[in-house]
Amino acid sequence: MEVDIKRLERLALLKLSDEEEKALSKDVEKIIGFFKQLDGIVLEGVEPLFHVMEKEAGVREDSVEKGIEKLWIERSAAKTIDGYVVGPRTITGEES
Amino acid sequence: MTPQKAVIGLEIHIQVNTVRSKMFCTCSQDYRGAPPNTNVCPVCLGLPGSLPVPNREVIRKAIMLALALGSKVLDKVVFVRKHYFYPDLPKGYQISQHRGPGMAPIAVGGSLEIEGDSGPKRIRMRRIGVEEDPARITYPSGDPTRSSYSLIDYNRSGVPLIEVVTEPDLSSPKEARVFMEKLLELVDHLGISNPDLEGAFRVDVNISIEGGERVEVKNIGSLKDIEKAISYEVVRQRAVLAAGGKIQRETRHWDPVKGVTIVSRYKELEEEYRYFPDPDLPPIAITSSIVEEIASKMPELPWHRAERYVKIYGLTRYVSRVLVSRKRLSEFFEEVVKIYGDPRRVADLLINDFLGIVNERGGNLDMVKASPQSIAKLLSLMDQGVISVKIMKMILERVVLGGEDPEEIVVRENLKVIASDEELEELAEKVIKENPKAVEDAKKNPKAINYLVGQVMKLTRGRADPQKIAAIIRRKLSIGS
Amino acid sequence: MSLVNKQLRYVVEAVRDNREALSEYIYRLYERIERYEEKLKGFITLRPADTVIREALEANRLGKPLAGIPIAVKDNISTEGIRTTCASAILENYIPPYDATVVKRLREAGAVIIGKTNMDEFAMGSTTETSYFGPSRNPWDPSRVPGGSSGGSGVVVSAYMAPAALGSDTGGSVRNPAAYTGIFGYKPTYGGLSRYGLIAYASSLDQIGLMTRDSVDAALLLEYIAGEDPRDPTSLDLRVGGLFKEISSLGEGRDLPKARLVIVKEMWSGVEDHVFKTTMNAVDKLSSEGFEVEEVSVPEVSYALPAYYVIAFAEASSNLSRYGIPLYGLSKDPENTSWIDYYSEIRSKGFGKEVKRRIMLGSFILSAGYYEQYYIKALKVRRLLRDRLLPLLRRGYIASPTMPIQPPRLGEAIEDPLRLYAMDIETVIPNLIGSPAISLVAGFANSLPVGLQLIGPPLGDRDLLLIARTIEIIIGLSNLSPQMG
Ligand SMILES: [Zn+2]
Repeated sequence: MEVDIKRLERLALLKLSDEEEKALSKDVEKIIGFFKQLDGIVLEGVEPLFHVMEKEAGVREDSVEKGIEKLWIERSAAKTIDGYVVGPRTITGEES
Repeated sequence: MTPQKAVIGLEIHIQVNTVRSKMFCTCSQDYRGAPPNTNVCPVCLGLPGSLPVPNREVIRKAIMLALALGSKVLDKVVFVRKHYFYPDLPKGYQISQHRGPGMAPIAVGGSLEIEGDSGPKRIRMRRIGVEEDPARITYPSGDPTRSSYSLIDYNRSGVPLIEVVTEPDLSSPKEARVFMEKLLELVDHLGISNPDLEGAFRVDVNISIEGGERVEVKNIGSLKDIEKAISYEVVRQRAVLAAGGKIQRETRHWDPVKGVTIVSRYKELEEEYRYFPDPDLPPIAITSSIVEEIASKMPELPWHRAERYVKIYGLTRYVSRVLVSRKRLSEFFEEVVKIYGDPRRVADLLINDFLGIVNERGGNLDMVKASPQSIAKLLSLMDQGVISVKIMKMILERVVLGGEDPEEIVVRENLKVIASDEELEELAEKVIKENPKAVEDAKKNPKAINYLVGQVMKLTRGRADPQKIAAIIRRKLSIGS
Repeated sequence: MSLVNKQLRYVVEAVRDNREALSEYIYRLYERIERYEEKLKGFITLRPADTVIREALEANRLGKPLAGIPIAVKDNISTEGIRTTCASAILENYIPPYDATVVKRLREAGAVIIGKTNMDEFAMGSTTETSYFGPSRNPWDPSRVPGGSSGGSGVVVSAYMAPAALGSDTGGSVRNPAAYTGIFGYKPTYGGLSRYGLIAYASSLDQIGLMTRDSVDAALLLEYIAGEDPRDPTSLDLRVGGLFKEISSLGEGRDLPKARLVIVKEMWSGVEDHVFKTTMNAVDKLSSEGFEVEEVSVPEVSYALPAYYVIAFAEASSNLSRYGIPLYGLSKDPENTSWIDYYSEIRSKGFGKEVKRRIMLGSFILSAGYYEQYYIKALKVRRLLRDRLLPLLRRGYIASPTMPIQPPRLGEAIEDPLRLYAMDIETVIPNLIGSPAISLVAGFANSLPVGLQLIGPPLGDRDLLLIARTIEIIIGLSNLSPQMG
């Protein structure tokens, strides 16, 4: 099997149940098979097209505007303390 | 047996703290001192639906740095997404630059010459790019390992960074430090960054010992720590190799408190960045006329400035180099010279006395409140014999840090040199009377006269020329010199 | 006749100097909603009638051009103070602190948001069945899907619960439900409407679009929301000033403009029989009315679908890596949890099955070793396709059925991902090449509307809408009323 589901779970930070994993593996294999249709087309000398309009990006003058209210953050965040957004531990259980 | 050579490359992230707004939004770049999460908007919080818009000024500054390093500026700027999860990264990716299919940094190649361990040495650049700073994380207990949660402040999120990646051309911790000092001098002179602000730069170091795998030590925040972290890592790797072990290719973190590097968990997550061109940001064309225009506005480079000091002002190489170590210092120096003249005398005062005061307090020139006029005045006051060197040293701190006018201090506190000989004669007379024992000593041993001179100086509160006092005492005691 | 069944432009005219008529109109909409919403599930969030009326009367009083007309907005377009869920559990309680540029412009022009419409979760689907809040149903036959991903927008416009709606279109998400619910759907040139505030699925393909009762209403709204946006570096100026006036006057005595229709053979193969016949009949009718019809073969078109899905999944996996953050959306107390566990738990709980599938596949596509094999290759196909189709679009408009099949019954398509993806075979093409495209009603098959898709050249939106109007007049099937119980 080409696809290592566990590795993709780690990359995408998703934890799947065994059942989900099984169902998904099957679909994923099938869909990658579908993607392999792309092997059938000759693409020599063709450059990838990253931005379809090939328009030059707008840039910004270096100026400052007011941002959003602190109140929104306090309402929206899981938890705040003294204006800080409370986050999870940044280390894993093993390190201490 | 000589130890195997260390091979060191740096990845330096310098905050562009001289512009007004952040890299991709209109929040203020100057996040320092703002209450947490009050300098944010949908873009730098990575809110769903928000889109980045690049700050033109930052791109121009990066091009300027590239030109100063002799790098090749590429004809279009492409931003890419670098993916990793961490609580300081609100989008799950950082907008950065990279090389690869469809990707292009601001510039590639170039070099910076440093004074290496064995003579001048050219450190080659790999690439120069622009990216955004993540948020700042702190901990309730100050220590991540002993905190049950983290505290996130997004005020720093999105602050513009310039990333400079070198080839692995450095061979020792000292060379790394010398290189960093020179690079920071450069960005300071170019008006890109004030390197003395807290958090103004962070460095990732790649270190290997010849024949071994490469180890990356991430997130080092000060020059001292760069040197220490590399020293630690070189010793550690040599020890592993000497014991017959193998160096793993891995990422480690520098713990500045314990002074050690620690291996990072979730190595795989960190190495699998899944770069691809950011579809929200079409490439920005950099035409040769833009590059020429930027080149034409390039400030004088620090090494050119130092050369000028040697040639025009007749300063020594060492003194010149110290003077250009910060743009503000060299500008200050030139201003004082403009008013006062005598560059050597000015340089001497700045390097020995002025910098002494600043360095005692951490070396950040932002604390200097003195005007070039006040320093020029101080020098003139000495020349005119109004104050003694001792008085100068006594009041310098108030002039430099307090911004006080030296003349006013002198008048207010009556610090003028005692000019009248009669007054000095009187004081000398008094001291001689009160110290018969010292007078005896002085008569036997001419060097012992210094004690008497000191006593007179004390009475004048430093306001006299000790040479002159010595002459008076000698005359009174009829001692030859 | 009640204003409710009228096109938006007539309602605006009727209520402009008549505030009573405006409240009356909005009451009627809410009556319809009360009657049909439970069955059809067009909305995720419906704003209270009195709030909407209050805002509408205020806009009307201020003399704003849209006079307080209510508009429905797909729930992946940010609305300040109104929750915006993307039909996902992970954003169930997310209230944006800002308006998307299009919403801001609509509000400034005097439109009022009536509610946020149902959709496939994060716009990932073609039937509105992947919504966390449950599927929408087709007003023409509630046992069938209304299409997707902007299914809710299709439902509320088709069932007269709102005179117009904003949708978003990444690979057909506006045109698909427009075709299935018998209304007009328009996806502008990529960049033609600012994406600022549109919650991203696949950024290089995403485009906000309009879903209206006909092309004239679309032109009217377009004039108010188009125009470059300094907040979206990919935005462009469509130059549609005066379009509404021009399009409104079509068919008034003057000859209708004619155009050439390009039939790309590969886009008509694999199309269900009834659909094929109904659409081809429409093309024949146009031909008899003076349209030229040219048939060509573009074999590269067969690779559009896998290329589209590779690109969409890759970008989606990146865009959706922001979720799980303790700043907004689904969360839990972060204390005593490692960050990896925290993010994994929120993301696993908050995303539905199809979204997880696409994120995992996208991560795979972008991961070392596969990037060039899949992603870069798909982008090469994208260029090839554009290089082949742009010359055709300089000659005429590519015409095809909007959907290869008629609306499936609920549950029919969703089980097999490849079958679901195959529904997009016609509609992904304009997104891949940046072109504007519309869907309008070509006719009926099995008592269900069938959509005709017309693709124009990038930035050719103005002419595309004028031709669409011409076709509407010739075919005569706009502003349809589904028979509802
Ligand atoms: Zn911001």
